[in-house]
Order: sequence, then structure tokens, then C-alpha cells
Amino acid sequence: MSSILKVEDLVKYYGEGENQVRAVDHTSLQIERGKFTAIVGRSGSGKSTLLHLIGGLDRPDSGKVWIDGTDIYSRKDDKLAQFRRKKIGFIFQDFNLIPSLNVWENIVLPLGLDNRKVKPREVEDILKKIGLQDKKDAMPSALSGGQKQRTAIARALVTRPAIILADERRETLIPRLS
Amino acid sequence: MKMTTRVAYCNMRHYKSKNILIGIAIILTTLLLFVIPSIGKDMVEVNFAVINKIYPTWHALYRNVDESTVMKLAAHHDVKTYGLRSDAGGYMNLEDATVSMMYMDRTGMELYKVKLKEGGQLPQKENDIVVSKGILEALGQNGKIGDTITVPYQILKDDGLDYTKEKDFRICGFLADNESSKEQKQYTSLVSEAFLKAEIPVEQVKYRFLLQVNGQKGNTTADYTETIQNIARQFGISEDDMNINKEYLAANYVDPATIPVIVGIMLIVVLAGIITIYSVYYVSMNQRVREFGKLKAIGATKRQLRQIVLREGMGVALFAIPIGLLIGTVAVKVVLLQFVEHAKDSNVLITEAYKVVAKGEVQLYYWWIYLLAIAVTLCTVYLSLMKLCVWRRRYQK
Repeated sequence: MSSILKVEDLVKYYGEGENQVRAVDHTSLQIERGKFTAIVGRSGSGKSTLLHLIGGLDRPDSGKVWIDGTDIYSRKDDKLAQFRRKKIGFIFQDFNLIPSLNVWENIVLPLGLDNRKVKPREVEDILKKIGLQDKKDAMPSALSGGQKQRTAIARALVTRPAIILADERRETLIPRLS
Repeated sequence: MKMTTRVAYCNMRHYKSKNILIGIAIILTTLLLFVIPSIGKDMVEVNFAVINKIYPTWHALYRNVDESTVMKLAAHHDVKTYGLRSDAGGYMNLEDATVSMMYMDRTGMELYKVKLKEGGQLPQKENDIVVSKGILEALGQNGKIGDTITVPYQILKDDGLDYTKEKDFRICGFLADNESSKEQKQYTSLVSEAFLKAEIPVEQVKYRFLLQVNGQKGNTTADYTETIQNIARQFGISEDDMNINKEYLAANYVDPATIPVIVGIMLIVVLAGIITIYSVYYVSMNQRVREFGKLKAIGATKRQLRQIVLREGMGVALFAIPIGLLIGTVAVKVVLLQFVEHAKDSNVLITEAYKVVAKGEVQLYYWWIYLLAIAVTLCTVYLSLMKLCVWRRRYQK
């Protein structure tokens, strides 16, 4: 089976000298297509930084990341953004819902940014699966933490990405939906 | 609807209170950019309209001009039109009124905008006279055109007022009395050139030479003034014997001294507008950096972020600018009317200004001022938002 993700000698340091933080220090990994992988570690060990680097949200100091055969950091910012919204579904730790958009609009946002046609039935199906079919017009401020998380998950799924990256606190994981 | 437009629209609604404040700032800035140039221009135009109504239309007059100099001046290539006036006709000798006896030719009458009442003619013969009702009352006589009146008068000669004479004059026309003449009992009658020359030795007859000079399109008041002074120098007419109708020239030709002032004021107004709008957007967008970061994280390109920011900002501006212009349109008329009404009885010019504004005799609104206000506000909003997009990109790097 081919790799969906390949990380080669990734480095990301913050600061200089005595205050330097080596968030990701020559990390390499490979994940096969179709596999579920969890990266666990102590608080402050660099998990979120690694995930952000894999997801193309931050540029590394050195190293490469291939997703679905593409060296993502060979692309310029706008092309990387387009690649990201097509190929990567990212679920952020704090959900990152847009406060001015309702649940439906938050979910279809990546499709809209990609100028892809929204298939209402597909989105309704996703809403039903995550149990938010009655909340599609609700604003993020009216949602509970769990409902926000499910909206974020739906947004990551709607584009049918090649890989889903979820930056989650362990205690918020709901086994049924994981 | 495109996603970027939808996000911009949703942002406009979600951040309603912030956008209302921004909208108010834009309304006030548009108001400022519209009202100040409008009122400035209107006050100048009203002033010019009043001057053109009240002031004579000669560009200058030369005093104490003898007959031979009159002939030479009339032939000068820079003199477009001329009229003659002579106050040497003397004064009527009356107890409680002062009546001057003046000679004025037809062109002089036109340049002074003096008209006879219907049916009258200018004096031609030695015993012709144009009077007014007030003059007849002061003389204690009645009469209409064609009637004869007896007038006691004294001629002003070089060595002073001559002894009183009496003469029968035929009324050939009437002038209207104005309020100030009636109040002060100071009147002017018109006599013929023939009477003038019969009473005063030819060498003592002096005229006021009223002239309009030739000009070209684009000539300024300074150009006209220079021409007038050149002519005077050529004929030995001193500064003391010259009166330039500066107000009339300023009302009808461009005064170069005013241009830097106008440009300076406009620059200050525009700068104030730009700083206000930029500051308002700077504060507003600064607080939403995190939100733009989220959009970028979800996959919005720089171009899409720019579109969202611009569409939201310009959307607010497109609502606010027309409101600002509407308020400004009403405010200009109200402010002008209030200003002239408040002082309308203080002098003739302002009383006339009030009439001019109230009757709508002067254009108050100019398309280019509307365009200026819209263009400056829109450009400022656009440039402020673009600048903030650049700032955000640098900050987020």
C-alpha cells in the first residue's frame, strides 16, 4: 500500500540561543493510505507544531513533507492553500469556526473557497451523521463545545480530503465518532 | 453567490455594531468632504452674483480726464468699451436735499447699470433734464415727461462753486429713487453735455472715463489690472486718479492669489478625511486578525482574504457614502440660508445675498464636488483596506 504521508527530517525551531525551543527536531515518519495514526506525547512536546507543519499551516526550517505524492513545501503560499483545502482536512484544537457563518456555511466554506459546487444532499447527510441536522442555521456562539467539534469535523470531511489531521485534546475525543 | 462575497456579507451582519460605527465615520467624512468645498464655492458664487447685481460693470475709471485725452483713450487698442461721466454739472441749491447734476452718456449708463423709467430719454438739449420723484418733491414741484420745471443750481468750477442761477428745464426722463437716497435725501439728476459745455469753459470740463479693457480667455484679474495700469501710465493718469473695480474683476475673472488658498484648504480637508477613515479601519481590522488567520488556515488564499476584507469594507462604504451626501446636500442649503439670514439686515450686500440664495438664483450644488467626495472617500477606504491586508500578511509571517 502506498504512503499518503511522508515526512523527511523535519525541523522547526523557535527563538535563538539559550531561549531556543526545538519544537520539531529532525522528525521523520511515514503513514500508509487508509491507516489511522495517533501521535501522543506530553504537553509541550511539539505535537501541534508537527501537525501544523504536516498540514501546511506553517513552513519548516528544513525538511520535506509529501502528501499524496506532492512535496507540499515546493508550492508557493496560494498554491499551498489550494492544495490544503482540496487534499487536507484539518480539525483544529479550538475548532476555528468562523463566528459570522452558521453551521451550514462553516461546513461548506472549504468547498466555496475552492469554487466547487455544493451538493446539498451530501451536506445534509453529513449533518445527519454528526447529529446537527436541526442546527444548520445556528451560529457558532449558540453551539456547545461538542457541537462545535462536530461542525469542525464535518467541515474537514466535506471536501473528501486525502488525509484528515485532527489536533485534539485526549479528553475531548468521543470514541463513537473517532 | 461567491463564497468570499458570502463571507463578507455575513461579516457585515455579524459585526453590525462595529460596521455601524465605521459607517458613521464614513458618513461624517463624506459630509466634511462635501460640505466644506460646497459652502466655500457657494459663498464665493453668491458673493459674485451679488457683486454682478449691485456693482457697476466697468473695469476701471480714470478721473479728471480732459476732452482731448478722452479722444485718445477711446482709440486705444486695449480699450474694449468706454463711457463718460462728468460731475461738473453742479448742484441744485435746495434747503433740505442734495441733488447733483451729472452728465453721463449712454454707455456710461449701461456700465453703471442705471436705467431710466419707461418712456424717458437721456438729455440731449441744453435744457433737458432727467429727475426723480424725490427731486421734484425737494424742489416742491410736480411734473411729467415734457413738463418744464425751474431749477436753482450752482456750477462747480475750478475756483469753487459759482453763484446760484435759475433755469427752466424740460423733463425728458425719470430715474427711480432708492431707499438710501430717500433716507439721506441725496439725489442725482442727469443733464446734457450741451448744458455742461454751456456752463463751464471747455478747458475746465473734466470727465470720468469708464472703461472695460480687452481680454483673452484665461486672463486673470492680475492681467486686467496690469492692462488698466499700463493705459493709465501711457496717458499720465496717476494712481490717485484711477479706481479699479476689483470686486467686479474678482467676481468675473480668476484671481490667481486665491488658487493656492483653495488648493491648501482642499488638501487639509482631504487629508483629514483620509486619516479618519484609515484610523477607523485600522482599529477595526486589527481586532479581527485572528479571524483572518482562521480563514487562511481553512484554505483561503491571500487573494480571497483580500476580497473578503475589501468587499466587507467597501460594502459599508457604499451604504454610508450616499447617506453622507444626502445629509450634506440638505446641510449646505440650510447653513447658507442661516448664515445670510442671520446678517441679512446688516448691509446691502448681505441682504442681496439672502435674496439670491432664498430665490435659488445661484447654483448651490456642483457635480464635481459630489464626485470629489465620493472618489476621495472610496479611494481612502480601498487604500486603507489594501494597506491593512499587506500589514496583516507581514504580521502573520
